[in-house]
Amino acid sequence: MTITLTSLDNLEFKVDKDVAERSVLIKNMIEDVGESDSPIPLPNVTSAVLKKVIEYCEHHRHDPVPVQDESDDPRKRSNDIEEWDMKFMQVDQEMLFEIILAANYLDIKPLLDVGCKTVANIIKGKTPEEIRKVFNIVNDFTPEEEAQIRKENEWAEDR
Amino acid sequence: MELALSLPEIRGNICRFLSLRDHKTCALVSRVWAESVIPWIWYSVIHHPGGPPEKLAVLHKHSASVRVLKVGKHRTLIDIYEWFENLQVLHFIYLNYQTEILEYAADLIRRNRFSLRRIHFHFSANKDSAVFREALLCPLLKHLSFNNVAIQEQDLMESFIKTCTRLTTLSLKNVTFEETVHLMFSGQAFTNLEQVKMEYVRGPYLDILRACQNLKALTIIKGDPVSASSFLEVITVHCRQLCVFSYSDCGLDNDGDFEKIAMALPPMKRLQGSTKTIRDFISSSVYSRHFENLQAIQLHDFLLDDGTNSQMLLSSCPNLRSCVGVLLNAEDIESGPPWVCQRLEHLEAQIMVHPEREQLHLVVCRQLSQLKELRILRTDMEWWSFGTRSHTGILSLRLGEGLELLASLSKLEYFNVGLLREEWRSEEVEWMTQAWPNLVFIYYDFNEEDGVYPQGCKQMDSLGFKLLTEAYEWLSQTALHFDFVTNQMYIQKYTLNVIVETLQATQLQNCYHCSNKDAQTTFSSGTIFPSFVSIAFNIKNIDPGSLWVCQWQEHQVHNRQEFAIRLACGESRLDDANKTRY
Repeated sequence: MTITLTSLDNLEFKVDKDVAERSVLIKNMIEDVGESDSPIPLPNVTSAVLKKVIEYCEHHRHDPVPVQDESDDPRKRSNDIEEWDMKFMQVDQEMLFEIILAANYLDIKPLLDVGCKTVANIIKGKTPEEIRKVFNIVNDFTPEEEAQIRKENEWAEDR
Repeated sequence: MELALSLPEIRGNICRFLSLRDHKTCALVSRVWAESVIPWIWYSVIHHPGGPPEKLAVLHKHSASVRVLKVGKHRTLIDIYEWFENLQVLHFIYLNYQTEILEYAADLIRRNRFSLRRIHFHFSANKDSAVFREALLCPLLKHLSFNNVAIQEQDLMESFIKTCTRLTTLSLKNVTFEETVHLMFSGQAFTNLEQVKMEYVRGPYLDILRACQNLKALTIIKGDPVSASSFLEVITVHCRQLCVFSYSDCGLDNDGDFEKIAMALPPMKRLQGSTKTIRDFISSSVYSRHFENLQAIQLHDFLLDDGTNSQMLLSSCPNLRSCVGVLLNAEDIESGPPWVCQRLEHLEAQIMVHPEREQLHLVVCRQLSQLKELRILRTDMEWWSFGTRSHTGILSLRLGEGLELLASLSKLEYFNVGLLREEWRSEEVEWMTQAWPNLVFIYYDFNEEDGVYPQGCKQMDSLGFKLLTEAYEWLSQTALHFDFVTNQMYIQKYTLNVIVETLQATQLQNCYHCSNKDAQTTFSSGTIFPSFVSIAFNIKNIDPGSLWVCQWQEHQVHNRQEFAIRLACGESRLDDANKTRY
């Protein structure tokens, strides 16, 4: 069965149901509305981004659905992105963040995680100033605040 | 700032994938970043005594964020036990808790009773059970590891079973079940218990296993000897899911007994035990039903082996991923059937090649080259060559003698070649860097003859240093545990500075304890000793002046010096992979 998704800029995308249901948001919508031919509007997602998201879901359509185990340590590694996903994520920074926002909105956890891991890999090893530069972040600390955080952080050890 | 990064849930999700070092950096980016990342900085804390009062004040300030707490020396408990209420993981790591401190330990557990999921308690004081009692009252407990306790109260065990229904792993070391306690539980009790380790346990501990219908992994090391017949009963009636079994010195090695056990064991995925019994196990066709499923095998005291069985193992087990502690003869590889273990990731073997049959080096390398998934390769076990110190009869692994065939091992991360026969040439090191892009650790050792350090090893040094930097990056990011040993016998002043720069750049935080105080004083003077290697870690900063603590072992027979850099950060990668493979 095919589902029609409509992007912000009114483009229609036809996808198989199992591909669309990689998005928990869409899955729940389908369950609520029942079997219907009417397109599902996604006003938060432009067509360029939706195209990428659909590409991801199609490639991963047979993956097992991730199981949430809340008692496990939430901290994870970021260097285990598989090759296809890595190539998929080779986009400009703007698209990267659009994909993250879309995955967040559509509730596609694996895609959100891959996006966040990619950002984490950009952050890794950089100084605060370098991070601000890459992401266009303004330093709103007073020198005292910054010094305070630095001092406190010195006492944090995890091994 | 990008819209995505302005959302706290996105920032939080990114933080999940960063290491402590990067968390600390992000905290200095901007106020909202500080807000997102500071709880992560304080998520996992190890608390040692010492330091100014400010240190305790800061910990107190952030105590609500702490979920993983490792407590060091006993005095610290009194300072901090009241501060934490949402702990999920608690490690008591110091070895000598005095009795009066134990009540604080018990109290800390009690305060976190409804959030604790993992408790490790390793101490060697008296066998008081007050802390143990508290641990057994935590309903969310998934992992319990406890040392040194004598259990006398029946009601303790009964409440344990009723409360800890989510228990998945149980590890007991030096634990005694007194006669007042009986462990026969009716019905299914620990339905989630999958892994049990009993080390030096006394009492009828096998009885616990009768309540573990879903037990998958069992380790028994020493303790009261297990009778083969009760063990047989446990595995054939109760623990039918068992697929990982590791044992040592527990009475199951008696002739004839293990045969019955091996026949009764469900198809094993991982097996670890004494060579004698497992050698018999491998050689009989009766046990071939295990070959299909076997993923990991580890032998102890492999010197008793003669190699024929190991060759058979590798050519019979298609799912083998890890094979440790075997002896292999090149002639057996040449004349035997090809290995079927294409998925092998971890091989530690003593590979012998008769000195008069040089062409066999190529034969062995050709066979090794088929193992395209190999990540860890060791072809010369220390204790073998240690006895003989002979360079002959061991697999060569030099370019032109078979090394080039190993170019197919593109996933190789750890390479241990034991004794070197001769110098390494720079083109060989070059070759390794090209062929094995994932190489993180390299281990080599050589016999210092006539006090002369072979020139060629300089090449290995530079590769070693390069890998050291990459290794730390990899480790700090993945928070894995890996012991590795790099052996640099000879460092000139310039190289010493290279190490310093490298380590400073990577902000290595771990401290390696010097086991030889003299070395510490000797090396702290800053003089470079060409025939020693020394590396020291200050916990915070590495200062070339305050130098390098080294651990070095002097073996009585041969003047062998090596130093070890141990980076311990968590759980082994291989264990990690195997965990999900039941």
